[in-house]
Amino acid sequence: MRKKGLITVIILIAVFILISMVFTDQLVEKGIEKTIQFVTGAKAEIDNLDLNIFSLGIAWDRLQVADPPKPFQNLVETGRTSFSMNLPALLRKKYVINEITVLNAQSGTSRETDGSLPKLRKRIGKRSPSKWDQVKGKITSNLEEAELLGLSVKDIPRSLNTDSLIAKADLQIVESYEIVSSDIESTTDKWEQYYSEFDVQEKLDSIHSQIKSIEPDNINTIDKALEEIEKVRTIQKTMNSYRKEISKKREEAETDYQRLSGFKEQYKRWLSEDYENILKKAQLPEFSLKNASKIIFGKSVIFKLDRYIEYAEIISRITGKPGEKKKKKPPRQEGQNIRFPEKQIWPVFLAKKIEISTGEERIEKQKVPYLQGKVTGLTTQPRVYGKPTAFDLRGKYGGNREILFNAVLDRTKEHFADTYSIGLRNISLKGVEFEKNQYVPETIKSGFADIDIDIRNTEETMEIIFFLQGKDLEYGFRESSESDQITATIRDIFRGLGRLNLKSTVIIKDQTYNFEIASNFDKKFSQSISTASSKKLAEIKNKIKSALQEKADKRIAELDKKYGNVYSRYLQPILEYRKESELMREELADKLKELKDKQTEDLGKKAEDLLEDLLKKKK
Amino acid sequence: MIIFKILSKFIKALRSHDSPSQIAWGITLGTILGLTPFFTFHNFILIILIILIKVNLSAVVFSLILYSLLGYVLDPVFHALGFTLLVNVDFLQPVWVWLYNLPIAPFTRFNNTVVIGSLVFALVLLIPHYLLFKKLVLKYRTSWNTAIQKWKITRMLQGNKLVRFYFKLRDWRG
Repeated sequence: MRKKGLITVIILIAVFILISMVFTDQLVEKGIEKTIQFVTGAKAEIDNLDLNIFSLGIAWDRLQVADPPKPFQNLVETGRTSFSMNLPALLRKKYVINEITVLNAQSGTSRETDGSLPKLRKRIGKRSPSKWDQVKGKITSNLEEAELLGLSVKDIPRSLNTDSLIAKADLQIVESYEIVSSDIESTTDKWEQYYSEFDVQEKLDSIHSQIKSIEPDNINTIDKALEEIEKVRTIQKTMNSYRKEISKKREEAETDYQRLSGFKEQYKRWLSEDYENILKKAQLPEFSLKNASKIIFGKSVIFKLDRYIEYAEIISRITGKPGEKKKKKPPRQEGQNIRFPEKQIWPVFLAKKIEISTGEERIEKQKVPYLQGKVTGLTTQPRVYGKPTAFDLRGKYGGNREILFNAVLDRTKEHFADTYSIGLRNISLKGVEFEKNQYVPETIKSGFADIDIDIRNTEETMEIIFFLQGKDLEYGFRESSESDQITATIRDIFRGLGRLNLKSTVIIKDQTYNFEIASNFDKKFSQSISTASSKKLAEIKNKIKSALQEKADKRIAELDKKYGNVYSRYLQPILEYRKESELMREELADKLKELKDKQTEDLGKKAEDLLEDLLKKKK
Repeated sequence: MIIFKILSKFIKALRSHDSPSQIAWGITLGTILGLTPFFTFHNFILIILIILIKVNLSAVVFSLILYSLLGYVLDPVFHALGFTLLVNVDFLQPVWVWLYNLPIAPFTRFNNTVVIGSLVFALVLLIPHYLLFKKLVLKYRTSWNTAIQKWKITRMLQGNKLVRFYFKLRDWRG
């Protein structure tokens, strides 16, 4: 054993421990801060992190995570937080924590410094644009268009020349008339030609008259009866030959019937399309009951949703999605790592349980909520862990105000399914500003609300439901004249709208969306507005509709006449031949039976007479 | 040229006061370091062992460099050997599974085909290597030393500043 060698080893170990004690705390602190920043896109700061390399315990006094949309506020601020790492997992470069204890966690606390990291936030947004990101722009621009239409309500022309509008338009009901009419005419010619060679009606009539001519009651002799039976058989043969001939043409007649008989339905569609096209050309405002709430509240709702969806996406980024990150195969010279069955498999990061608690006595005085609850199964590899990540948090603060947050992020299967539920109870709306819109109030002066936001995000679809119940609301308006009627009406409605119930749904699928808003504002709005502008609009619309209807009716009547002719003269006899021939066949069968009965009766009588004559001669 | 300096040191080590066993063990342990990928747990233990026990360091360095070059060439052979041992030898499977589940397993990298292949190769050669090199050192000291000392290249290498520094360092270590 070398003495100097032993001293060298001891010195090396001592230096390693010393470096660990001095620098590891800072390294771990920076590492955790960077990881959080990478997820949130905003600044994260840890105060006084302490790492115990022997027990693998980590603790800090304070953690601040800035709110990305509000960089001078904290999304989360924690007090004393402590946890221990799992050694066997750590040796395999897996960060597994059984329980994290967080004390005095708050949301919405103010920051002394700017917590924004705009470059990182932009990079995160570009890296993984969500379904919401993909349609948000479309929704906003559509709302702006709707708003423009709404604004033009005041410009409804006092007298609109509907006749010139209709005259200028390329009407389908006019253009298609010629097409349908010539179709009917050519079909008529075709069948006329056929009937000149084989008149179905005439043939039917002749058979019918032949059947009528057979009268079994007037037959007196057997020869006459036999003659009539022969006649019936001849009629049956003729009927069968006609049937064969007509069967060949029946399919053609049916096709013509199907095509021509649908013209009335087609006309209804053309009429509706012509009507819509003229409305578009007339640029009449669509300020209907259906989209009033959208125009009034749409942008503000989208703005609110955007913020909450960003929070949901931050949480979503913590948990890995199925199928993400495939490891590259190592180059050949590095050999191949063979995997064997493991008794315990850990995800790269797993916090089995995060327990967040606070003292009840603090609640009453707080302006921002202290969070309580737990987060379970927070992991970067949910399929390895096999359980979904669940959040169950609530925060109470002064004035019975409350925040509820529940989420289940299920990425354990091939396709992920995340549900988020955010509830805000009794929150003050004082000072809330609306998106700039001439109808909407500038701000809310006072009032409270309960807000619920439910988000369901899967591989294919994203469904968002936003529900707001406002109480004791008072609004502040911009200084402007209320010259136009709509603005004045809307402001009047707002002045009396102390309670506001608003529900909005957004469904996103394959980069298309459906965005709806309904509120009790709609009802009041429709009551007030229908007396004025909407009435005028309705009048104009009715005028256009009736002018078009008149044009269409005239043409329908002409076409109906032509169609009636071809149908009754040519198509109907062929289409109904089978029915007619069945009736005639029955009639013939009856006649034949009668004839046979008659024949049997006559023969019997004659036999009796002959027998009687013979007996008389013998006597 | 660094290779000549190392060669010079090694030749001087052969003539030093170190016993043939120390030099042979130095070469043998250097063989393991050279043949197997460097950053592994067994090499860490081996380096501590080399510092603690009395083996010839020049022999270790010389052997490490020589066998590293050889190891690079033999990588495909090590991979094939390692793959066979890890995958195709059924009776070894329970051993590998047990090792794989040990907390220390990730540091050993034993489940890497090149690591296990080269380590087994080096271990198999351990005793034959030791015996062969011990015999060669003895042979050198009794028969070849005088002849080699007369070579021009030997004298040239002995005058090198670095080599003189090495001697000082060697004397300090005792």
